[in-house]
Amino acid sequence: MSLPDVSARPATVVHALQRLSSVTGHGYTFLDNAAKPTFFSFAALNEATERRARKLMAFGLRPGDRVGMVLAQPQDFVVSFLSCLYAGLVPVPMYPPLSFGKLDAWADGALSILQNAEASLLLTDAQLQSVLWQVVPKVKSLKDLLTVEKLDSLGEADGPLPTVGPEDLCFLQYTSGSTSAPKGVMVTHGNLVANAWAISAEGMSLVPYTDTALSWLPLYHDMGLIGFVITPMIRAVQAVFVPTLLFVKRPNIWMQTMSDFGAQHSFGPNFAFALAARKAGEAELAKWDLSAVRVLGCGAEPIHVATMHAFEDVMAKAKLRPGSVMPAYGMAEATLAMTFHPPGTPLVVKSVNGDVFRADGRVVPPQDDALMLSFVSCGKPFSEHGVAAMDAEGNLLPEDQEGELVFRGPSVTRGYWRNEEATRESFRADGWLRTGDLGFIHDGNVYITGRSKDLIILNGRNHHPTAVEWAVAEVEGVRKGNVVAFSVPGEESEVLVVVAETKADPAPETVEHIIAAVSAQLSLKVSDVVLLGIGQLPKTSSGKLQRRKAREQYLSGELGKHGDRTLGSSGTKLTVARHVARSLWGRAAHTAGKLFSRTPET
Amino acid sequence: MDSLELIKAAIVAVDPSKASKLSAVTAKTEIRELGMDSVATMEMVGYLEEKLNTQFSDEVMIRIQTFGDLQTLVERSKNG
Repeated sequence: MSLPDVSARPATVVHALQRLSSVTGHGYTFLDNAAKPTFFSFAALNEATERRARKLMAFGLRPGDRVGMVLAQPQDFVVSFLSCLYAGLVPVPMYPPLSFGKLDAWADGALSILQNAEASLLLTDAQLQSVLWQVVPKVKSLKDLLTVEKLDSLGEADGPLPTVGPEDLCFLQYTSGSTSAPKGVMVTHGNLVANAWAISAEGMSLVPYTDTALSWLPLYHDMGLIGFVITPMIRAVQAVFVPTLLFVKRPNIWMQTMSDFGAQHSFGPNFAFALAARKAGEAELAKWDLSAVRVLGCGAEPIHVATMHAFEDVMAKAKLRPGSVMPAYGMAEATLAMTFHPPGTPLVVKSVNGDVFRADGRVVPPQDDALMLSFVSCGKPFSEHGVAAMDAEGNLLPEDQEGELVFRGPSVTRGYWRNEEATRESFRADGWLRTGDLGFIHDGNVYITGRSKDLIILNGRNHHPTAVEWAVAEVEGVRKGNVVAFSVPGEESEVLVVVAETKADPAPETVEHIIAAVSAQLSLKVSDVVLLGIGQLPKTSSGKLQRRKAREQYLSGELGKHGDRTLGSSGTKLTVARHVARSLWGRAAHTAGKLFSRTPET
Repeated sequence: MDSLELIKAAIVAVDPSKASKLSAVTAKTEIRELGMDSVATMEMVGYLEEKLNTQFSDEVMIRIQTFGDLQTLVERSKNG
């Protein structure tokens, strides 16, 4: 039998899978926690999805109702997510609780998302349901908590499935916000198809019925979900899913499975490349064959060029081709991807005169006696889309001038769910989406130079600095309201720095207490703590803390220079950070941030 | 190697800078207090699973907070 034609764009995600309903030789493979694979052909996936969709509809839900999803296993997640779409329901992917984390803090986060989304149903699995029951009575809109095991045990349901169109809301992607006000990005079927089509056809040149994509990324995050669940099926490309925790516990499994499956495509945040390169031993490298690999996308957190080169050097022993690592830039509000560097070509680095750039944001060639800054290109926007730099008054800037990056095109989402104020702030009436990232355009390529919004991105995940600052403010001796948190480039990836003003003569353990408080509440590692005397943190004339200025002063060594400055836990890190800040960096997408995008907060 | 020593070895394997902090650790110390991020913590769990040739379930892991909790888990898996 001939294979269905996938040369044209499908109208919706539902249409994308339905048109593959006769395909039995290609599909998705799910690894369980023991790395045992289960294969679902596209035909089987369509069938399982339809079956579950009908069962969901039997619960009396109406099209457009939101369904919270806390599912750790990729197989459960993918079938459940797609079945919501078939039933016209709006899935709300949520991150599962972390090991060693504070369950209460996690439950608070889950609660605020479910309340904001006004979810009607909560879908989870038998293992996680016990921790979720405590949340259920607090969400008035919730009708039920269901496990996938329970759904499977129910008898078959029948009844027609609704018709879904490109303008319909497909799912809500929750992103970083302060915990009290989570922001759910409204992604339509039209957005998803436009973005996934651009990624598959232009960005990665996926070859239908031939290529294989592989991912260990969390599926509650846009990079994993859109990049590897939606995009492959839109082009009839196979996908392999590795549980996220399996990769973090055994990082070698990433390249091992790339080799086993002869996969061409994968993606990860910067930290994952550092981890994978560090863990690969000579014995593994000798066994692996990565010669089929074409694109290893890097996004979701600032890209460290040295880390990318180190990764390629190590993996060259496993026959990885040079130029396989591809910087990408994106964010949840743009569905997922905004720009891709051309796959298979060397990284493009632009060096500029740092003195001129810092003074007025102009890109001019470096000079011998001036500071040199280098930035890595994230490539060009896809067709039908645009990226530009904009000044504070909303004027588009010419090339080689730094401004806030803005994005437009069919991938721009509808805004934030029931949050008009935040929507107005980021989604301009003229169609441009404000990214909150600073950058410039040179030869049509997008270079990211920093952030105008104070977001901290660590291990591919976005965190609002206030969450860190509040945790630190609770520490004995710290002056409440006089704490700033930000990230700076570290040796391999971004690292977290806390600067706090203390009362006179802080106890010697204050630094340790700050590190422990942030770790206990947020599961984040603080790499440096700087304690300052009263009035040493930079503030505006109205007394508002200036995080960005504090960060600049930290990097230039100016912070608290005229006060009683105490270096924190790792004075050496400061030197390292200052050094690295001058080397290359770019930033990619988010979605747990950015290639992607802004991710949910931990 | 006793369970606590094995756990400490796992931590040092993942983040050698934590070695100096481990002498003060008791059963009641919360693992988070060491200041490791969630990725490093899971790497540590991976080390333990490999040494013990076992796999801890997600449900059990999310309820572990202290060294004592983790010690109990390690003991249990050693005893099969």
